[in-house]
Amino acid sequence: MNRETPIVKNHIGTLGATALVFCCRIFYLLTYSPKSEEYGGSVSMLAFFLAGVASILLCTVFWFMLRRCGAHSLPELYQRQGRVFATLCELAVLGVLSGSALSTVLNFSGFMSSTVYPGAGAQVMAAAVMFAAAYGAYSGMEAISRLAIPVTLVLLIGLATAAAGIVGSINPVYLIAPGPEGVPQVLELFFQALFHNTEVLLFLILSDKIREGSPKIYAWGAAFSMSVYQFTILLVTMALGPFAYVRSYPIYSMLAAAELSVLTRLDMINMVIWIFITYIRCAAYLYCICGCIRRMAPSWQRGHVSLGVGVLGALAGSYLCGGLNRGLALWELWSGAAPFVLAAGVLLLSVCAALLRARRREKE
Amino acid sequence: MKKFLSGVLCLILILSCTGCMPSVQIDRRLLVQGIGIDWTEGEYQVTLQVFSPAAKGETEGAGSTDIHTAAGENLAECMQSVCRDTGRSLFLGNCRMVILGANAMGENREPVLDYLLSNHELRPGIPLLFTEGQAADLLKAPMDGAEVPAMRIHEVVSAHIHAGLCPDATLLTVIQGIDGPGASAALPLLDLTEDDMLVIAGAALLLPDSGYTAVAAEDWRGAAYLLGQLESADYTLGYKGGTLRVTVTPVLHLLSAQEENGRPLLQLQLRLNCAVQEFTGGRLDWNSTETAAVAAVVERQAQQELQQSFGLIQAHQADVLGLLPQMKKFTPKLYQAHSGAWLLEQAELKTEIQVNITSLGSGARAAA
Repeated sequence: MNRETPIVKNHIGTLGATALVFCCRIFYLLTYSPKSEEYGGSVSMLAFFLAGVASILLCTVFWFMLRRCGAHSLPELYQRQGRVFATLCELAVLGVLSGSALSTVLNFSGFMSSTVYPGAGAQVMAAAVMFAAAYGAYSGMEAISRLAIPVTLVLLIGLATAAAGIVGSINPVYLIAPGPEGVPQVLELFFQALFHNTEVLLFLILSDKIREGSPKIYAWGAAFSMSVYQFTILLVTMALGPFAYVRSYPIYSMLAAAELSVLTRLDMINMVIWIFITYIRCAAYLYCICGCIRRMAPSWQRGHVSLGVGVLGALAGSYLCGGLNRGLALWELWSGAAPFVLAAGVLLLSVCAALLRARRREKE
Repeated sequence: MKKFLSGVLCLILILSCTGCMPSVQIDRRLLVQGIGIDWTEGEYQVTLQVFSPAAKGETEGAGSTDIHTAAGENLAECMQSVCRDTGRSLFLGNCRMVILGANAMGENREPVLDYLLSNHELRPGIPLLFTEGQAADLLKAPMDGAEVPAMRIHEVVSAHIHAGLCPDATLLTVIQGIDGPGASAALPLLDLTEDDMLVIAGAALLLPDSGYTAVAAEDWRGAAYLLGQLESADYTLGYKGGTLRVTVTPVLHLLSAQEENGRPLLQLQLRLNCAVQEFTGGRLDWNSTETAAVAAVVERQAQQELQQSFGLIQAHQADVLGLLPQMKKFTPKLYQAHSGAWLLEQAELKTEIQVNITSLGSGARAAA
């Protein structure tokens, strides 16, 4: 008797899926750093807004391409094109997903060991997150997406509380509209934000597991996260001003500066929420990694694959967190266009292969 | 077997989760209350006022403070030296203030601020104070047989800030000012009297050229009006041959910058509520004419203070009012066409003050 839970299609709720997209996309907010005035405030806001809109458009176009080929998800599409093609695509997707999961853990442990707990073992943190996320992946996508709903709510409450705490320091003078001279910076940040965004790939992989799966869900999640990005960067820019450019993590600094009469510092409260967001993002990517592996090796059990992914992820995370140069090497690779090109390439090649096959059949 | 392995795994996870960071027991920590930073004889001198549970002097049962000092080439070295000498680790998360000696804020301003920024335990909202003498002397100033606790200094400074007698400065606001287009900031100025009493002497304006200038407490109140930092001010004013004692509370403060005839114009709209506490030296008939006359006297006083402070700030070329960031945003052409110094020099202050007599104190009523 097969003790595995059968894969049930369309079993992630719409709200859960939207919250999941939101949590995955909002992850990089805490480590947002404008570097200098040229990249700060309105320049970042405009670039992130455009990148969000572009990602919604891309997701919609890609999703309609899948539907044009009669597939409900990206794996379904490339699985139809033969074993060799499917394996190559799975390996490419696996690379992108692994990079995303590792960059999540790297960012998280790097941030925590630099600011919240200086001197703490980044390697231990990375390993702990990977193991926890592997358990999340084993629990299934429904469990992860259900958790994303309360986490989203608590995050919004946390940010609203921080806004209330910092409102006294707000000075609109620090928000200056970008002029024509700011176009190169806007473009640089736009492409950076677009390339970082592997959530489109995540959505296309999971779309057959989402009830009423349509790009609307991604659009809602992305638009919602974009609004929170805009609001938070606006708040940071107006509350911190030039102070934001001398801090590695200005949003964390804003949370530390935000004080309410009963709560002296709000950074620790928000940290708990960010730990959950890291867990959700990492678990979602590990779940898809497990899916990739199981499609290539269908006889392997879910539990064993999750455990293996957890162990390998923990080892890789610990190794990369062991030295700044190793982590930065991955990050530099990840900041480029490689993951985006790889993901888009898999999709476009799959679509082309499907269309060619359909045309060949029509001719026959 | 499976349950046993799961149990072992859970135990390992639980035990490893608590060990991510090294733990330090409370008695192994130095709970820093105040930091003093000086630059003497070519090296930094750091003075730490640390909470001590043991009572000292007349502060029986309430705990006291200990002083630790260290000198070194940089601030991190000084802090490490204190840790080494005491065998304990520093905790700066509860620090109430940082006092900066004038020498440390001259040429060495940047490394000092960089160190304060780099320390994750120091909040962005930590108050920064300034002294023309040695910061160490202020932290060692005696009170009731022991050092004045940093908490007490903080309370006294806060009271002066609310009364508009010194600026409100934190690490956040000082960095905003120094890294902003004006490259200036204002800090509360502390001093010691001849008999070692700690006093708030006014404001220290950090200037773009790494220098500073002192502004007396009574000259700062106008700037406090302009910055919207004043909560309430008490005045004793001469009126109809007698003395009028009033309390003024700002209820509306709007400061904007614009261009007028090719010159910067700073416009302040201020609404003040005024409570007449007492009138001595005659009798007043409290009717609308009388209240209007009293309001005019208060308005004149506020106007005078505003112009005086603005003139001083202008003379020292210190943009502590944030005129240049306002010009950069609202009149970018004018901002780009002229230097910061020219803009500050040419700036004009236009005020619109409305005084509203809201209540008569018991002393004022008796005189009516």
